[in-house]
Amino acid sequence: MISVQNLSHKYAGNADYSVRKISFDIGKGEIFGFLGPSGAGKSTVQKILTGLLKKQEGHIWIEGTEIDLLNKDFFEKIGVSFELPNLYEKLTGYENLKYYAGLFSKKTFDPLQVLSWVGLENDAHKKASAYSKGMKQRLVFARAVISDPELLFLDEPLSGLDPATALSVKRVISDFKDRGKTIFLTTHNMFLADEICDNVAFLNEGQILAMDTPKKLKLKYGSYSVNVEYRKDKKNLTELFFLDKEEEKKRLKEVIDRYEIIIMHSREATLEEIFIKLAGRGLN
Amino acid sequence: MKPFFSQFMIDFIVARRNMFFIIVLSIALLYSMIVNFVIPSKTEAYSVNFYILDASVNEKYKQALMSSDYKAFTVSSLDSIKESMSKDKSALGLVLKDDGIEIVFQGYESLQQRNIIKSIFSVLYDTLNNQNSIAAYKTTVLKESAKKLPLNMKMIPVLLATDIIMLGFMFVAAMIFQEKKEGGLYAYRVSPGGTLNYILSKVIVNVMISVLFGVVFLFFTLGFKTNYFYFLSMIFLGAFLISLLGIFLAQFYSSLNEFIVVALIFNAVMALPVVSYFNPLIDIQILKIIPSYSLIYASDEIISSVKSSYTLNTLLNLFIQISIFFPATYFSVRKTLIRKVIL
Repeated sequence: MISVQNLSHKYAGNADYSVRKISFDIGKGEIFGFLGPSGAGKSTVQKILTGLLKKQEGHIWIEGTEIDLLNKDFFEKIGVSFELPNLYEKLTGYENLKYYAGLFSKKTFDPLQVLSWVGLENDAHKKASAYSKGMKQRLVFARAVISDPELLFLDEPLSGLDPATALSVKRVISDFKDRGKTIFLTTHNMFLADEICDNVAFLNEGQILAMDTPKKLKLKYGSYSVNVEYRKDKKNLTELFFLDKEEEKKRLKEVIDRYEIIIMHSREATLEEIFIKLAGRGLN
Repeated sequence: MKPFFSQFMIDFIVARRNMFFIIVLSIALLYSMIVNFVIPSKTEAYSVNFYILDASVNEKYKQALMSSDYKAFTVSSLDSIKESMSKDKSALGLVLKDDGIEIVFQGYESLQQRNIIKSIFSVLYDTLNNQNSIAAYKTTVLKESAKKLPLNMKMIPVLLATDIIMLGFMFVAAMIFQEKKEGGLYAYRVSPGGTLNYILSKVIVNVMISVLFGVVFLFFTLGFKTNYFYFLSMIFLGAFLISLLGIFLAQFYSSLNEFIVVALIFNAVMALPVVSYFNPLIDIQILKIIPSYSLIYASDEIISSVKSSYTLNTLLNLFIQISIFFPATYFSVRKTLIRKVIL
């Protein structure tokens, strides 16, 4: 569905590249998670893929067509959810969806139906300006899916949502996957990625550090981790040790030798812990 | 058609909820009241009063003036002339002597006006004294079929052009800046809406606002006694052109604050033809290329109910300007607004 080869991008006025020679492939019907902290280059890649930013270096093929050659039909097939709410504030939630859907030539979902998917059916006729941040985020997501796109770009779709609403949104995403839609998910929420993505790529400082299925990444980078809770200076401390690293092995031995161990068990590392291990930095 | 209609509805609702229609309707009614009840049909400039010293020795001249169409009053002294003139700022003072005339001016008259007045009195004086009878003369008036508009009616073209140009320009720019600020433009860019629908929907909404203004304003000032076909054609094309100009310029700025200087300069330039309209002696050629010039003069011609050659030329010119400017706006908006992200 999407093939990216050696993609690089540098913003005017910046000395460094925001994205450096990244390559990845996304198959049809796949949820591909693009994971990384703020400023890693995730949104830049999404903007290039959606035609908002002009490609500078490298190649991108979408359904076999080079992105530079894509025409208006491409926009009939995609849906884009932005990280920050960008709505017509003077229009109601219903009007925002109805008239956006009208920009498409193909058949689209009923706005009220889509609003019900994200729990906004009772606020359909309120102006968007009266919506809370979370409601606006849901409306942006609803707008992205209203055209029943073949290719869905989601930038931090759960940002600012309460757990119940986040669950509704995740259900819609899963439903789209079940219907064979391809989803490009940009997020720094590793739990979301772990839960719904078929493949993930870790992006840090414009480069892909690792890319595979979440399960394989955990097997590859997280199988030798040991979680230890111990008592030191009358305080309980918890520490995670990756045993494939010599210095962490030594540190574990030191903890065992010197302190009272309360609990110790091997565990599967989270994607976040793997990211920290690979990038040397956290996600926030 | 469906994408255009959808984008049109977005712009229409945004304009309606921004009160644009209410604003122009209120202005149209306000302007109508001003034209009908505030601005007089004549100004003092058209009725000069004379204060003549009663002791003036040239009786023949005094009688001639007293029996003329002008209002002439006799007063007892030169001080009385000055006092009367201080109360009547459009008046002139005259002391008629055997060997000539003493003219008392207010002081604000230009040298040109003073010389014209002196010439008139000189010729009149000579004629009355049979010194040099003036040769028979014939006058030819250009636009002789044109009826002279009363001042309040003469304000209609100015107020009409002001609304179409200044408000139309600002409204369409405000719509673009609101979209940029709220981010709706970003969503539009990843839709199949396209550049043409984006431009046309805004232009048509803006044209509708101008037509609403025009119909209300003209109905309450001219009633049924004017050619609405010409007027509405002109408003349609004028508002279309100004909307394109507004979109073209607004695309390069990110906020109304940045744009305000451009808007002020634009409106100041558009106001220049008003000077020429009220003082035809100031007929600078370059003013004629400003769109407001042709709008004002064509409106004047339509109200005057004269031959419509200038109006038809204006409509044709507006059409040609739109034909040139539309592709320019289309390609620049496509490049600058639709396909470029402002970060």
